[in-house]
Parts: sequence; C-alpha cells; structure tokens
Amino acid sequence: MLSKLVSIETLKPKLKEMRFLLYLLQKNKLTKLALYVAVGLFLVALLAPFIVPYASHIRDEANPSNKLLPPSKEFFFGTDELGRDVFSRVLYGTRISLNTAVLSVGLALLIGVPLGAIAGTIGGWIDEVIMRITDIFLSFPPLLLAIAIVSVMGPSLQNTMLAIALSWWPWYTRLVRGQAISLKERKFIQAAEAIGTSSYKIIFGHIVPNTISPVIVQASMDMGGVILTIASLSFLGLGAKAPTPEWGLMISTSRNYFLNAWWYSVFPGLAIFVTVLVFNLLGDGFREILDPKTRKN
Amino acid sequence: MKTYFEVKNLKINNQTFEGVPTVLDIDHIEIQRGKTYGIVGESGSGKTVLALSILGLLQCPPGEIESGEIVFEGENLLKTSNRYMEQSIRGKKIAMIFQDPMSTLNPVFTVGYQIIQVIRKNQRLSEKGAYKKAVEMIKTVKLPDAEDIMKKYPHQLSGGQRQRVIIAMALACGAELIIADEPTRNLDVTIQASILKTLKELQKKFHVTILFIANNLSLVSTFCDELAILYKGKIIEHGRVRDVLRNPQHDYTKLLIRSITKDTLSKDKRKESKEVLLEVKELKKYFPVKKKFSKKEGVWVKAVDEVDLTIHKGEVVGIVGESGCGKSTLVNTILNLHQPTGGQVIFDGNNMFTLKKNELRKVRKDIQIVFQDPYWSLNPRWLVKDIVAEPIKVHRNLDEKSLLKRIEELLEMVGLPKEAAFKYPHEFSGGQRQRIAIARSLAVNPKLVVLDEPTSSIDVLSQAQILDLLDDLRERLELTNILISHDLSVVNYMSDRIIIMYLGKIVEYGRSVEVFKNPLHPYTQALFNSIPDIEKEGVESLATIEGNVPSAINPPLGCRFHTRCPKVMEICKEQLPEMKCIENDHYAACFLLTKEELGKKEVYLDINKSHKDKS
Amino acid sequence: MGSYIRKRLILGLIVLLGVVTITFTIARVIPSDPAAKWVGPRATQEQIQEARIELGLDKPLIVQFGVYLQNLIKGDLGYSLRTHQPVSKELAAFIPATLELVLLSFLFAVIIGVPLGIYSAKKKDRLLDHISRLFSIGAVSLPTFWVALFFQLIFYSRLGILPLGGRLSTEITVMFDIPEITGMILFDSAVTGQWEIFKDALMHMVLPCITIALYPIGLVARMTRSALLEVLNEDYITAARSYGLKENKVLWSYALKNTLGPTAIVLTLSLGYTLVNTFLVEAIYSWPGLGNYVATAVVTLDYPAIMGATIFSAICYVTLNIVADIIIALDPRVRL
Repeated sequence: MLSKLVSIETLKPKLKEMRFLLYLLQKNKLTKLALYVAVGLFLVALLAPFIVPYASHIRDEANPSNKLLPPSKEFFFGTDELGRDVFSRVLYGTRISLNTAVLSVGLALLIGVPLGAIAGTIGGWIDEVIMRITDIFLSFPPLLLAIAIVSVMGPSLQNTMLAIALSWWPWYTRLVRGQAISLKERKFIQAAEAIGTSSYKIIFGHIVPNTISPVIVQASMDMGGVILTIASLSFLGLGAKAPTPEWGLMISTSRNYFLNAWWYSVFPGLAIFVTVLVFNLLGDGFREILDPKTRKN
Repeated sequence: MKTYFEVKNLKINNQTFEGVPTVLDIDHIEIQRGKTYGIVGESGSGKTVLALSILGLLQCPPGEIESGEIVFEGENLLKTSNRYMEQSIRGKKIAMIFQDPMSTLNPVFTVGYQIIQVIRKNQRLSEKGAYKKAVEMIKTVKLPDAEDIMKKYPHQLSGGQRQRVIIAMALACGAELIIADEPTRNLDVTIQASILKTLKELQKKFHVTILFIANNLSLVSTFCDELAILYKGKIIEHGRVRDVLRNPQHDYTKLLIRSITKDTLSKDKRKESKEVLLEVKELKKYFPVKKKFSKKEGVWVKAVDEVDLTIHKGEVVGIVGESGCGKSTLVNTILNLHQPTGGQVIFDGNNMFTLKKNELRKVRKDIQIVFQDPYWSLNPRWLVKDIVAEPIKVHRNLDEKSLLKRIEELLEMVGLPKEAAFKYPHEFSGGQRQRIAIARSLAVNPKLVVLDEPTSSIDVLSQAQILDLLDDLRERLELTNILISHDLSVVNYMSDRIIIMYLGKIVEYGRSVEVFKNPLHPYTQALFNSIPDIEKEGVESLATIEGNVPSAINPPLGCRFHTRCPKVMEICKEQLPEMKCIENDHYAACFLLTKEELGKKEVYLDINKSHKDKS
Repeated sequence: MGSYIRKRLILGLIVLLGVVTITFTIARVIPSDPAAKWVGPRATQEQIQEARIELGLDKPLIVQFGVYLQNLIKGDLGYSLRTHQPVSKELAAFIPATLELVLLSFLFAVIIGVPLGIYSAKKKDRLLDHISRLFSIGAVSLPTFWVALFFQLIFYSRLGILPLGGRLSTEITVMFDIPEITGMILFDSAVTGQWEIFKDALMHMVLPCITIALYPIGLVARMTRSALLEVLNEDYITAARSYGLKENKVLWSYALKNTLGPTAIVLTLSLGYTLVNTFLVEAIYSWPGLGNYVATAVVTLDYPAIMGATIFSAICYVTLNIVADIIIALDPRVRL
C-alpha cells in the first residue's frame, strides 16, 4: 500500500517537469506545429493497418487495370505500376520508417550511452580504448559502413537497422562521455563518492540520468538523419525488399516511370521530407529549450 | 547644483514562466560627481540588470523597461538612440568593470589589441599613439612589464592581473563614471584588497565617479562614501555609509549588519575532549603536471606538503586560506577521495591508507561532507528522499518502510517538512537545499562531518540559520566538524581551533580565540587585515600583500611565503621554518618568532613531538 | 604545436589501421568466393584452385592480412575481381570526377551557408531569420536522391534546359579532345581555354552540384548561426559594447573570430557528408565517379574494389578530422 503511494507521489513532480517542458516547447510556434505533426505521424504509424483506404495494396497485389493512374478522388496520390494505391502505401510507409528509425536509434543508444558514461566517468585506459574504437567507427562514412554491413549480411530491414545502429552509436558515446566528464566535476558526484557509492551506481544512477536531456535532443535530431539513411539504403537496394511499402524503395522503383508518372516518386519523397523536417524542427526546438543558457531565464 | 547622475522611478520587467514579475523598482538613486556610491544586494536582487540598463545594454526581450528615467549630466539615457549611446556615452563617458575578469576579455585577442581598440574608438589617436597610451595605462594600474602584458592573451594572466587590465581599459576610454559590478568577486581577499586600493587611487587621480555594486556589505562600506541597499529589486535604504551602519532603519539592513558582526558562539559549554578522533601525519598530496599528450616525469603540483594535524572528539576545527592553499585537497585526501602521495591519516584508530576496500567502506561511513554549493551538490534528477537515502542504501539494509521513516526523521532534524521527501532539489531555496545536504550527511550517523564553505553560496538571511543548525546538530549528535571557509567571521563563530594554510603548508594554528586576538605569522596578520569589515573606514585601512600567490608547481624554497612577505629575511629564502609552539597550544612557523622576540614564552617543540606528548 | 600534430597523425594512423582491419574482416566474411569471381562463372574447379593460389587466398588469414598491409603501404590495393585491373589505377580514374563535384558543392556551402548563418544570427527572431532557418532546416531534411530525380523531372523532362546526366554530352566527346591534366574537366578545359567543353561540363554539373550542396548549405548555415549566437551571449561581447565599440566591429571582429573554430569544424564535417552524398547522387546522374564505382563493386561483390574505396574515404575522413583538430588547437585558449 505504502509503496503504491510512493510511486504516485514520485510521479507528481516528474509530471510537473514534463508540463513545464511542454510549455516551453509550445512557446515557439514552429516547434509547436512540429510537435503536433510528430504526434500525428506516430498515430498514423500506430494505426496504419486500420486507416489505409486499400489495406490489400500494401502487399504484392496487382490490379493491372488501374496501373499508373494520376491522382484522383479515388486514389489521392495516384497508383503505381501494379495499380496499387500510392496514398495507402505512403501512409503505411510511415509505420515502417518510424518503426525502423526508433529501433535503430534505440539500439545505438543502448550501445553508445553506457560506453560513453563508462569512458567518461572511469577514464584512464578504459576511456582510451573505448574512444579509439569510437574513432575507428567514426572514420567510416556512415553510409559506407552500412553498405559494407548490408553487403555481408544481405539486404533486409533488420540488417539496415543493425547497420545504422552500428554507425550511429559512436556519436552518443562521444556526447555522453563529454557530459560525464563535466558531470564528474559536480559536487553531487563527489558527494556520492564520499558516501562510498559504487562506481556502477554512480555511472548509472547519477551520470546517465543527468545526460538524458542532451541525449534526447541528439536522438530526436538523429531521427531525421536516420529516416533519411534508411530511405537512402532502400533506394540503393540495400534495405527493405519489395513489396514492403518503404518510401526509399518506392522512389527507387518509380525511377523507371518517373518521366510519365510524377506522382509515383513525388509523394513518397514528400513524405520523407515532411517526416524528417518535423524531427529536425523538434530537435531544434528541444535544443533551444534544454540549453542551460536559455533556460536560465 | 545640477545632479550628476540620477535614477528616477525605474521599473524593469522580466518575462518568465510564471507571469511578469518586476525585476527592478527603484524610486531614486542620486550620485554626486566624484563620489563613490555603493549598492549592496544579493544575487538575484537585480544589481546587474541595473548596471546594464544604465549603458543601454539590457537584452530586450526578455527584459522590458516599463518606465522611469536614468539621467546622466541632465540627459535621460533611456530616451537616447542606441547610436548615440554607442558614439558618445559608452566608453567615452560611462564604462563598466564586470565581475568575472576571465569572461570579460575576449579570449582570442591579445590584451594589447583589446585595449588599443577601445582607445582608438574613444580617442583620436594614431595606432602608435594608442599603443603608447595603452602601455601607459597598463603601468598606471600597476602591472609589471607592461610591454610584455600587451602581447599576452587573457588566459595567460592571473585573475588579479586580468581585473587590472579591465580597469585600465575602463580608464583608457576616458570615462568619467565607472560602474564596477562586483569587480573583486572570485578574487582572493589579499588580491581584492590591492585591487581596491589601486581603484581608489586611480579614482582620485582621474577624478572619476564610481558606482560600486557588490553583495558584500563590509566591502561596500569600506570602499564607498554612500550606499544603498537593494533588496528584491527595491532600494530599501540609502544614505551615507556611517549613517546607515549606525542607524539602520529597515529590518533587512539590520539583519545584514548583524550577519557580519556576529559574535563567536559561547563555546564554554563544549567539553574539551582529550580523545583523538583524527590524526594526520606528514600528509602529502602531489599532482603530476600533465601537459596534454606528454607526461613529463618529476613535475608535481605540491598541493598539500607534509601537513600534520590532530582533531579531538567533539571539537570544530576551522581551516582558512586563500584559493590554491590546499585546504580542499587536504580534506579530499583525508576523505580518501584522492590517493595520498605520502603520510598517514589515522581516523578513530584506523590507518585509512592501509585499510582494505571493505574496511574502508565501513570507516567511510563515519566521515561525511557537506559541500559549498547546494545547487551542485544534489543530483537534480533525484527526489529528495533518494538523495537523503543514498548513504543509507550504501551502508545499511533497510526495508522501504523504515527507510522512509528514517528519511522523514532526518528531514525533521534539519528543519524541513516531511513532504520535502517527494520533491526535487530545484523546488527549494539555497538554504533549504543546504539543509537537504546536511540531512544526507547525517543519514548514517557519522562521527566527523566536514563542512566545505557551508554558507558561502546561500543568502545572508539563511546563513545564520544554517550555522545555528549546524551548531545545534553538533551538540545533539556529538559530532566533530572540520570547517573550511574563506569567511573569517564564520570560522570565528563556529570553531574551537583554527588552522591557517598557505601554499600547501600550515603556517599557523591554535585556539581560535588566541589566533584571532594575536595572529603571529605575517601571512595570518596580512590575511586578517586585508578583509574589509564595517569597522574599517576606507580602503587605506586594508592591508595588502604584494605579488601573486606563487605556483604550487615549483613552490619557493625556504618559507613558502617569503616571496610576498613584508618582513622577509635572508634565512627565509633558504630554510623552511619549523612549526613552533609559541604559547598555550598556539603554533606558528616563522623565523621572526625567535627566542629574543618572544622572550620567556618561547618553547621549541617539534610538532610531531607535541602530538606524541599528548597521546 | 609540432608535437601535437605528430601525436594527432599517429592517432590517425592507428584509426586507419583499425579501419583496414575491419574492412578486411568484413571482406572475408562475405559469403562469396573471390577466387571463383576472379576466374568467372564458367571456370572449372581446378582453375578456381589455381586462382586461389595465385591470389594468395590459400595462405592463413593473418598472413594474407600482412601481405595486404604491406601492399597497402606501397599504394597497391590489389586487383579488381571484375576487371582484373589494379584497384588503385581504377580509383585514380574515378576519383577526379567525384572530387570535382565535392569541391564545387563545398564551395557553394561556404559562400552561401556561412553568410546566411551570420545574417540569420544578426537578425535573430526577425522575419528573415525565420525564413533562413526554415530554409536551412528544410535543406537538411530533403532526401538527396529524391531531389536529384525531382530536378531531372523539372529541368530535363519538363523544361528541357539541362542535361539528364553524365559529365559531358556525347557530341562534345566525339568532337573534341578532352584535356586531361587533373581529371577535373571544368578545371582542365578552363586552363587550356577550351570554353566549348567548359560550358558543356558546367551545364552537366549544375544539377548534381546543387543537389549535393543543399545539405551542407543548410548544415553550415544552422551551425554558424548557433555558434555566433552563443558567442554574442558572452560577457566579453557585452563588455566590448560597454566600451562603446561599434556594433559592426563587435560582430565582424570580436564575435566572428570566436566562431571560426566551430564553423571550420562544421565545414570539414560537411565536406565528409558531401563525399558520402555523392554516392547516391552519382548513381542518379550517371556521374562516372567513386560512388558509381562503389555501387558497381557492391553489386558484383568485388571486394578489393570496395575495400579500396572504403579505405580511400576513411583516409579523407581521418584527414578532415585531423584538420578540424588542428583548427581547434590554433585557438590561443587551448594550451598544448
């Protein structure tokens, strides 16, 4: 009973802080708009199977009679070479892209954050080793690393995710390490040391929670970049495979028809653009409000 | 007579999360030409906002000047254009000295370049003429090797030197009114005294008016002719310095005055225990000098060099010294946060440096620390209950229910409500946060609590309460305290014994009553006399020590203080003076304290021997 | 300073060694037999075995790695499995085309991105700032390959004013001798004064160049803006103003010099991005550069070619990083 009470009590101040953050986010109109669109995108992603007009067009179904029709009341974004509704496929693509991007970033965070916190807090040779490895991964152009990985493991969305996570984690390691080093100078870390708290608890109890704000900013900004990379890889034939309605893949296929069916490539492209834009705007907004310099006021 | 400078009905707002609170609401400030006018206010009282508004540099938004006038030589500055301010007022007529000399100088330009730019903007001089003038100004503010200083980047200068450069810049403009916004904050007291003296001398030489803003009443009252007390954006009291001090009207002013004239606690009740709790023997802590990428062997910062001290159960020992003297390193090494370079620390019968990890953890439980700044010493992401529970979780096994009970008990002990447990640190004021930090330090019933500047970053109103709380807790829980502070009044108030450190060494120690009454070491004397207090009239009464604190990388041979000591002798440069017991447990290390001078009282005693005698 | 650069170079070499090791490992994990690739699909088992010995694939992996490293130092990247040509020679033939594209786009990024960022910071929160911010965020949010297609759709198919792809029109290659000094046609034709070729090459470069430049322009503008705003918030800027220094002086000298470090870092970073982005763009504009080369190599699992290109990119990346670090070190605040 008591512990239940405790958890509610614990939540209250957290909610208060969240409300404050939301308030700050809303102060910038553009960020506010981006926030709404982002929520909308996640909703679409979640509900995609239920809201697309032609659910069967998600798969390999062919309707030759309808092929390459321009946008109309029936097919908002026209149809593709198999006569499938581009609107349904673009809508469903949201689910695929967001899902892949969230998982990739999540995986990268899972690798990068602890390594960065350990390197920054403990220092010494552990730091040296971790940072050298990070340097090596950073010297690969991300796309090239992804290409290399996918060419070993074969193209599939899972491998794309893995490839992206592998090329993205070093950024989080660097970020968190820098944070950890400056946090280490804070007195509450020294207080914990004086108390006799173990390094494990200091790293994961004190350091990691305090790096959350910059990590969230970075992650939300990275979402855009990751979605772009997924699309690029699929475009190169190194990601999703047909008939998955992945945006990059759709544009890739549309290349063969783009001179006489502009809608086929334009709408998936716009979808990518809008989604990436929204995340970049959000990231920018986050950065502005979480920046201690602007937060002082 | 026309008023030189006047502020009338100034109201300034600031946009924040919760509506629009007024930052400044000043009815009237009036400054006569050539005078020094002081404004005393704590951080957040709106001092800097006022300074920036005078120069028309307040960022709007978020700031907003609602109404009022700032009249300078008959002209309302708030009504003039930015262009006019830029061309005719800023620099030419009014210049500002900022509080942090490091961030006030542009890091990527040499000092000389920056001064020359300012001179050329405000005076019609050729490049050569400006250079000459700059060198002259640097000499005027008493910096040695002016030509050399010109070529340096800001980071190559010490804090005191940087502040002198900034004073030179302000004067080089030819400004007649200088706004000094806490010009000596972050500087050591001995440096502060000499900067203040220079500033005063130059004020007379150049006939400038100074608006002096600070948070320290003693400082302002020593430096200024008139003063005003700024409290929550309002001037609550103003007048001639003596009048305000003798006859304060407002409660806040009275409290301010009381806070800096507090007597010592009556320590008679304290039982003098002979039982030794902590013994430090020849403790050394050297840090290797790490040049980026190349570790040269054998270059060390001798932060703590062969320090001995003994602390008895139940007493409060104050450690005093300027920044870099090694007081914090000493404490951190005692706490085993640093690996010692040599020596022993014996706590409660355990040799701290030879203990195994397990045993060390147990012993550590008995030593806790309260840090200076309660804004940084509490994890902002943790609830108060988790913060206070941290030591308990490390050292003991309690179930959730008794843990919560214990936390509530601790919060009550430090005078906080139970509900505080479920809040985050940022919801509390500085004083309350310090109470949380104290609660945490007491959570596992320690024997020794180190207080590292416990009141220096909280507001005046809470300071006295915190000190009383600490004293009360010490008595109730039979604690022993080490108190580190640069604020002599705090040390005097709290401690039974006092230790004075300079550059990694103890130069004097003894019963605080004795030391305060009769400081023996030249450094102690200078230190005590360089601190402004409201009894002192004018900066001339402050003692100064010339020169900078030497680097601890290559501490001077012989007595560490000889490079700055006014009474230096040949022997001081060659030999290290021994610690001698002068009278009644009052020790000092200085060659001046010889047989002849001290007559019969003198007793030669090695400090180690005296320890052995006791135990 | 000298010792710092030396240390940094050594670290760079270590990183490169790591890259080589990883690429080598990846290449060996690829589920395909290089020897079989070498001799072609119709070879007999014996021929494959021979090829294996010829290529040194029969030796232990560690020995192979040693040999590879040894050759690498000599600049020998092995032979392409597809064309049987030395990879280094092939790279040398493809790199200038990419370099030309990258450098020109980078130039765009600098001359548009930096001023845009400065202007935006100067006019913070005014309409023009909002427009420029939206533009720069938009620029980094566009999928490059899609932009490339879109441009083709408009400028080639609809308007017909720019070519679809390639480096030169067929007529030009037939009619003229293309000068080969650096391999960068724009430069070579300008030097030799063959304006006919220059004009044709320029027309071909417009679309790929703008496509690639969009991202770095946006990136550089955003970063310059935020770096400058941060500096403008510093005390020394307020102090400079308080001494009556002119606003222009404060901005262009006092503030801007402090943003040189961060801006230069973003520039080097964006150069890296540009290099990678060309991979996508080259495929669409049939630009005969490194990207196209890698794309073909990936499809045919031509591992020496992939490795060669990867190592080349990694060298570029590491060099750029070292340059960025040296720029940081030039700041007088950083004590070495």
